[in-house]
Amino acid sequence: MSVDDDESGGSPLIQFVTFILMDEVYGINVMQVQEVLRVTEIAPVPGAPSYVLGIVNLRGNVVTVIDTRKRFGLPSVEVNDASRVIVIESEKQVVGILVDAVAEVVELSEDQIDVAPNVGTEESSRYIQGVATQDKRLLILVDLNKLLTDEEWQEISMY
Amino acid sequence: MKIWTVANQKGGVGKTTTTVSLGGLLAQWGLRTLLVDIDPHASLTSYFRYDPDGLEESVYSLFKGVAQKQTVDPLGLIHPTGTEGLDLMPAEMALATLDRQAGKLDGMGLVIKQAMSQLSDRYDHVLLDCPPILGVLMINALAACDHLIIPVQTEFLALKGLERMLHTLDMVTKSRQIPLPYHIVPTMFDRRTRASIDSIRVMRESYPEHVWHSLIPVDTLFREASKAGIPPALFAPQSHGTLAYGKLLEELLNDHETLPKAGAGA
Amino acid sequence: MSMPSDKSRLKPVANKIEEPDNALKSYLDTLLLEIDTIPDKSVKVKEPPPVADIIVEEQTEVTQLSEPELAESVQIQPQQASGLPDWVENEFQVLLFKVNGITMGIPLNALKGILNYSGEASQLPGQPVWSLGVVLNREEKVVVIDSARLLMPERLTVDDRVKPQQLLIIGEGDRALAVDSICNTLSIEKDEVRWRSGVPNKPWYAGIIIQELSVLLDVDGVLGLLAA
Repeated sequence: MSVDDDESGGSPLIQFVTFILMDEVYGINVMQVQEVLRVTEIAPVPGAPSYVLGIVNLRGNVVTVIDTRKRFGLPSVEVNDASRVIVIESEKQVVGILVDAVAEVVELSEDQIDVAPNVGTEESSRYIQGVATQDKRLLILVDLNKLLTDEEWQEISMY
Repeated sequence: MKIWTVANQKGGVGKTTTTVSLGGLLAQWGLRTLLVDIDPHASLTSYFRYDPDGLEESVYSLFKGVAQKQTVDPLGLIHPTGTEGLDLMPAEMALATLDRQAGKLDGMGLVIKQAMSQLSDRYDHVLLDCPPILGVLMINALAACDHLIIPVQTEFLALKGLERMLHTLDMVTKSRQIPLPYHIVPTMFDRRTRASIDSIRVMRESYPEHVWHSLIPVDTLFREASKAGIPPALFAPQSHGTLAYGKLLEELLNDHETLPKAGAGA
Repeated sequence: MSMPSDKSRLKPVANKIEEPDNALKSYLDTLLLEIDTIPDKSVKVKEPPPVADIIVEEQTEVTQLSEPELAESVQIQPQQASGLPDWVENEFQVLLFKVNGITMGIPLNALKGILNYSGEASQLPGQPVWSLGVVLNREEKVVVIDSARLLMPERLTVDDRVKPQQLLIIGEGDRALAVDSICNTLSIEKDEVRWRSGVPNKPWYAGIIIQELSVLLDVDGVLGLLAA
């Protein structure tokens, strides 16, 4: 990361928390991020839908953790030291998403973001909000509300 | 203890370079200096090779302490930089989440100020590296300092951001009811380009009382120093960039009391 | 690069921005409010305890402040007001046990007895798929329930099925849940459970025992499922 990134324009900056999944960098609006947890143990929930990894205890509250890799159509991996659960607030609920690692908080101005209609697969394009280039890497911006379908959000809230 | 904030509502202007350069020089000149990174982007923290995701003692602990009504000793949050006389209070990614705390903002703009007041015996100088977003963190930085340094790249678009920064400053000054002196420091000046030369001229014409009469040139040694994780003052003491910051620092130290104040008819 | 001819654009902002300023002013005034002590708020904060029985590498690291918010809405997901089972009291005992490696809880009130089990249930013709067979308990016939198959069929693997070692007798004493092992009992308060009702197809899902991150069984729900 360079000391001062060159940025264009005078438009307001939006901050994104970036995370890694299978070597790709994704970003979510910092306003949706409630916190970032080290993964200790995610307790499985019998009978829960397949995209639910399990639950964690967040200061006396149960937070459901989504299997993000599965959601993105990626193979599962073992949890390790770098793994994190990002606790997010979507329109519907507070849930956790498991990621390989978190990277950094990135600032982008609106004109740096491309709303690209043809990135990713059919499935993934649903939740891709746009892309940006950061330090010569592609940053894929994710719309968390679209991570699950309405039915799935409904389903998850039942547990 | 003097507290200076380095801020601009635009990113990429040279805030961290300015902070590290001035900090390194102060330490070199025998003044005990603390660098405080309030930016969740944590450039300053990373400069000194700390991982902003992995730290437990950071500026964030101060805010957490206030929210949980627990006293947090700022001394416990200080880390060495590898340069004698220069310490760091690092940032943590979690700082980015402070702005989304709805409600209970009362007094949250003074957290840094209060923490710094507990360190006045230990340091001669504090430099606060501020995020480019107007929010709780920037307000903390502006409220805590007695002097504001606004680095601005010498290019046309940068001036737009400066307008916004000065407006914010104006509003904060009104709320605080304490005038805040400030300096606009032209950075990344490249005398080979027309853009640099023109924009400096426009800057000086627009803000005659606040723009530093000199400038910080573009200097590749800043980047080299950053890669090494060593302040430019120690890494490349004779580089153009370092010498320019040295000149700025001298003037800041000497003229501190006589600078025009922001609140007085900016 | 051309410079604008109209240099007035670059003068310090005078009165161009009006309305947003009021919002900003009020925001700043709140932030910069000088207060001696932070207003007193009673915040109920539970430290995340180590979770029993499951390998814990380190304590959950909390890197964010939400306490003020949590005080206002104590639970992120609100309790479902209706649908608290009628056996729930303000404080009640729960026995934790493991099925297929996953810890669950059963209210002690619903437990009629515990038997050691060595796989001796005898299969009778025409038994439902969730039944492992029948054992005799003091001359009473007890139908042994394959709990893993009943409660978490999606997690069944063909090989490596842990052989259940214990039976939890429920209902009228004529049914028993086959479980891997018994853990401990604990006493919990009503609000230490995140209650749920109406989970589709799972009438036995009463909720989650928060400190254990384990599902609490509604035994009536289990029995209802068996009767169906």
